[in-house]
Amino acid sequence: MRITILDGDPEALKSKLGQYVEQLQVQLAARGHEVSCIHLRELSFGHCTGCFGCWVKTPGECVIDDDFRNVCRAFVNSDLVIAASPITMGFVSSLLRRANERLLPILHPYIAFKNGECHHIGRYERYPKIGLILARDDQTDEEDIEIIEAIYRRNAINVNTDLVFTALTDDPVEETCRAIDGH
Amino acid sequence: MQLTVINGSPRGERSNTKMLLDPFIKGFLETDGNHVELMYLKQIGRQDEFAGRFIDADAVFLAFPLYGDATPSIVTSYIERLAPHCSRDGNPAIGFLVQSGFPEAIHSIFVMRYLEKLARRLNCQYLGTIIKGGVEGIKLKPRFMVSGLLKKMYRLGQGFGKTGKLNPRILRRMARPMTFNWIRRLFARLVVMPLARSYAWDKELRKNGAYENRFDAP
Repeated sequence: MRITILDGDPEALKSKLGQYVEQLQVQLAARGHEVSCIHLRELSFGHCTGCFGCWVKTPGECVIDDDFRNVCRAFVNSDLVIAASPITMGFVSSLLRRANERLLPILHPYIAFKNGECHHIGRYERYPKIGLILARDDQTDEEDIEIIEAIYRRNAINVNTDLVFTALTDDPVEETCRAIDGH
Repeated sequence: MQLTVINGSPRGERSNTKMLLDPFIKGFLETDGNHVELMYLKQIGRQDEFAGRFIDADAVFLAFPLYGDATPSIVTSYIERLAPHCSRDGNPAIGFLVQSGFPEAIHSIFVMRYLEKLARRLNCQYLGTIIKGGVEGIKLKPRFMVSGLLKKMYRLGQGFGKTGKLNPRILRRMARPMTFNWIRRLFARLVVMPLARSYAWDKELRKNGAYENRFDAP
């Protein structure tokens, strides 16, 4: 399985999440997966400006020519994308959200009904499954995790796919690997 | 009352969010002694300053377009900067406006739960969240189709200026429909969606000479 990890940790120094992601990468590779990890903090990319250029000017590609174009490519060419982030103020990092909003080019402006709700139609035949890895901070409670998970479940519906697991850095890495193998 | 209105749209001064906020502010200012300060989070270089001044107001109104079922990242980065104000006594009351392109409210209720929790985390009195769907493209619509919405925003602002509360009846009405029933789905499929395709998206695509490439998958 081709797996891309989007590491949304703004801290470069050995954080709880950084260590977890590193171990996960090693173990997934040992299990025969093709794993790549994109450290979003190392890329230079701006936030989505809501211009819709990726829908009406250069369909499928953002009009901003920065590092994020390659991330879109990696995303649509994966079988599984794992979004990883520390939790701050009850939510994932603004770095990860900046990446999430820049994925707009992979959708199409046209709208259709999915489960009775309006959603954009896909631009690609298939999209990767989504996984989520979160690191608690000292304020995080169960409700915060539920809220984040619910929003990522909605994000997955938007790109015609499913959120297949949510793991915390408190969970053993092997357990997370098993959850991934199951998909 | 001193109100800080925070516009969290990446489109800033040209945003649909501003179009909704303008009548709200107008209504709010009708009560003597009310003052408004505006902040645009698009000015990323000023976010530290804006976060420091969060505590100066009696009430804060944070408005943004729904991006990926949640806050745009410029709003997330602002909220990260509010961490030092958590659990502080005497924080301002806080209310929110979430406007989406999708017509139904269901897309916005997940982030609303996060916003309620955020108010608790900051120890701010929670004033409520205005949810309004179907906002994308309102600048393309004829005035008569938009005036009802702008009037509701005006009345909300007016009421808020007088009482410090958001009228729950107007909030409920604005958030309709939660989802579409089959009749509205049929109407949307047969009438609204084809119109949106040809008058909004396809027109723009043609103008840019990109119509033939509209299904490109680079």
